[in-house]
Amino acid sequence: MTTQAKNLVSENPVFIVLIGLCPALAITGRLIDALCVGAAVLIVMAGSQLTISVLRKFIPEKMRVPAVLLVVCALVTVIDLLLNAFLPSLSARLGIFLPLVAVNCLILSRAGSFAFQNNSGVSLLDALGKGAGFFLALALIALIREIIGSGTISFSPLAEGGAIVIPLLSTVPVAVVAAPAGAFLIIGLLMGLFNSLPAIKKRISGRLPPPSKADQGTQANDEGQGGQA
Amino acid sequence: MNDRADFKKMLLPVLKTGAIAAAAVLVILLVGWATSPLVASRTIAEQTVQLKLLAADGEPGKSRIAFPLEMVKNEFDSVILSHCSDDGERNLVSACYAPDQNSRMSLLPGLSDARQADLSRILVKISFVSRGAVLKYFPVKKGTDLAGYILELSGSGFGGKLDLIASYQTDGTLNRALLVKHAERFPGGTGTDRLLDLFYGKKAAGMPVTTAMLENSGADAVSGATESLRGIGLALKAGSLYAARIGSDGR
Repeated sequence: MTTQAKNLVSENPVFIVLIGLCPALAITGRLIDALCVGAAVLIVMAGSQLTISVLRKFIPEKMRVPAVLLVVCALVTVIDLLLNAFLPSLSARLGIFLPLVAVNCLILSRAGSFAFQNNSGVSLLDALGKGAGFFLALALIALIREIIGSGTISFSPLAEGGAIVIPLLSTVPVAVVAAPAGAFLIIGLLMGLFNSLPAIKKRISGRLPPPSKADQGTQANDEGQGGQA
Repeated sequence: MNDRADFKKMLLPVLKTGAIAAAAVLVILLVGWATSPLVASRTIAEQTVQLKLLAADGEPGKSRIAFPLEMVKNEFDSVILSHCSDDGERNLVSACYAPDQNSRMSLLPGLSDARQADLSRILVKISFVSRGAVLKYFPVKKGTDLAGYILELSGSGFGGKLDLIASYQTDGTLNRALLVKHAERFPGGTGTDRLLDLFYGKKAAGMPVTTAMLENSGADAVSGATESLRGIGLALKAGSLYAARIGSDGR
């Protein structure tokens, strides 16, 4: 599997590395919000890692964290200003979540570590890969939550409408999925799925060996203890 | 010599970080400068649309700054603006009260414009404590008759500061309001028009602003956002008192 493919699935920042979970919980109620924040994170990641990798010899070791914060905050502010000017309704919808991208753990950790040790090309590729993984994760969580929890799929940031309405689910939505508790539930289920993907893949391709005698023995012991308990 | 070398060693990282900070600030200023005309023109266009919508078949006049000249306590033990005057009446003798009622200031005839402006700023600050302030107003005319006012209001909801624009009749009855800017999270994407419905056609005294009044009016069932509605209600109430106080003479 290539590095970029790993970023999307087997090293996904949200489902496998468990980083950047705050926005994954907070803004995944509607697909369009998740796509917008995901895109903002992707752009800020690419910009910050590129800038830091270019400046890595100029930035003093002691000032690494303040320098990273300065670069990331400046990029987020610029995006906020541009969105406010060109897509005001989207800017209003995202509200506080856009400025909060500045303290996204994924961005700060990659800019503070990877970008300091690699050249600009490698850093940019890494940022795009990790950002795409984060984007995919947010989109997947939001899609599931919105379909089940609201019975809609929103795709336009420009108006209140701009959503596909799913007939049965929109009249009787499973409200808990749209609620914050639903975000935990869906993320947990997706984490389970992503973590078991390698095993599923091996089993499908027939490469998973049948349980050994030792495994069977352990299983029998476990069952025996369970019975005694 | 060693001290000097140490100082240099310490200073260099700081200067380098300072240079990065300066570059970051410069970029932000440049983007802000480039986008500000667009934002300003959009704000003016939006306000024109809002004024036309709120004025209905009337014609909104020029905006006037709402100079607060007197404040009174309301029944919730907080202060709200109750009387303002346009720039022709700055020399009126008036008094204002801080929320604790201990600090009382008087505006004396002949005060300089600068002093009046200072005092106005203080009063606006106090009025934010009361969660409702009138910032500007536009007289609305139908032909030659004064039909009412459109007021720019500022309030404080669950998510912080919120801006409203609302049209009133000259007796303080609220015709219609628009929530222009806010950070409230209304559950389930509840439309703000439906929430503001609770206040339409009411004067200050009848506006639901306490938790009990809001619950009785079914606000919680509508939105699940009583605190947000309380903030909106207090701002609209301040506006109603203001419009009624200026009354039909337009001052």
